[in-house]
Amino acid sequence: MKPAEKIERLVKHISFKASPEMDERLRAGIVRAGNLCQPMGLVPDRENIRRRIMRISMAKIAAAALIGTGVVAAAAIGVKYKYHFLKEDERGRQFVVSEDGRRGWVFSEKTASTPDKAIEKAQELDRVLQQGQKEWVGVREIEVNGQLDSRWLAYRYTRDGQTTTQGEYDPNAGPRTLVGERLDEARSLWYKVLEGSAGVSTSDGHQRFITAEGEEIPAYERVVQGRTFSFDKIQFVLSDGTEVAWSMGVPKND
Amino acid sequence: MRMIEDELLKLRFKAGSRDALQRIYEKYRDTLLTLAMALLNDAATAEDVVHDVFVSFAQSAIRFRLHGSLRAYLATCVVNRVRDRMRARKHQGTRLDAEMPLESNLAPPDRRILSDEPSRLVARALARLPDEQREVIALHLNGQLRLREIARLQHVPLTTVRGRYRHGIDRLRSILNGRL
Repeated sequence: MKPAEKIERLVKHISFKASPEMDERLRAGIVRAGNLCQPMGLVPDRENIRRRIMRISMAKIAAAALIGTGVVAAAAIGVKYKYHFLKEDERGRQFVVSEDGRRGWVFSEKTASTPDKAIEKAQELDRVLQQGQKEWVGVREIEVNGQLDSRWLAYRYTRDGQTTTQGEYDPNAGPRTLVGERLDEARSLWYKVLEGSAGVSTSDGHQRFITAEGEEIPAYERVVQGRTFSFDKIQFVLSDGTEVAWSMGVPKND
Repeated sequence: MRMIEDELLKLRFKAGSRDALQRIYEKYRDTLLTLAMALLNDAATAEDVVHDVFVSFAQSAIRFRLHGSLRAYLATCVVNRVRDRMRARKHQGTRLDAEMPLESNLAPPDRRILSDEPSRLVARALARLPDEQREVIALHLNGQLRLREIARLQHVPLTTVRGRYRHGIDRLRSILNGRL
């Protein structure tokens, strides 16, 4: 085969496929356009603006969902957000996103059963984040091949009985090389080990975790920024051979 | 068979069939996405382009009059949208994503597009070609347009398109030399 033909074949065979998430977004846009087209002829530009907001926000909403229902991925103090209802998923969870696409919330059916309630709840929690009492409630540390890669600090905010939790990376800890798909893979492996493990009480009254394979999850205490935390450390190897240690720490009650 | 299917799809779509619209979307989504990626090498913008093409297509049912190939029509729509994006990008100097706040770093990975490593490598190499060469190659090899059709689209003589194609392939060969 001639070199030029080889290049032609390479280009011809490149293949990009829409992920399920992208497919969902594309279908939603087309359905909306198709529905609106029949009676109106044209879709207002606002639809496009809204879709762009959705695209940016979906990832952040998914991040929030990973942390837990009613938990925001991050906060920008002093900013007042106006929210739009985004969608209700098959589990009845309500998704809302700020107009500028900078913040998203997801609420369980129990917390907010309608779009209006979800928007109201998001605004309430914004106030909690901006004016509430801040409490440091956890640390997540990730080591990659034995080196600290990132440290995530979780804070709980409370105001008038309302509570929410947000996290932020410690800028002075680790190069944060585990990102994107590899971080996602690590997270799912961590969940998998955690789901298969069981808590047991030891004779000295401590709670220990045993994996499905019968191994004890290593626990240790360490001081982070002047405060002692109790960590559980789960180790696994990513598909590319990277060794990851994922530690979750809660403040030790002295 | 493919042509007959497309003709039926076009008729049903024009008659207002949502099933036809869905079938067209399912049939050409990844083809258009691949074409957009070959032209842009940017998943977010490629998604926007494909979205805009299908939305615009969905809105056009009532006035839709297409006598030629559906594939060529949709591929041409992609190219036109890509050109708009590139012009806008040159003017703005920054992508929307670049303005995203720090908090987006907390987000899970981008799962917009699934592909293999050779595809990504070739797309990166294509991105290094001049726009007009990249467009000819992507339209011909990924969009399956004939060079004559591309000449019409680019408003240049056929010989110019052939030259762009040949130079583009040569340059790709040099970029990809030893990498695949």
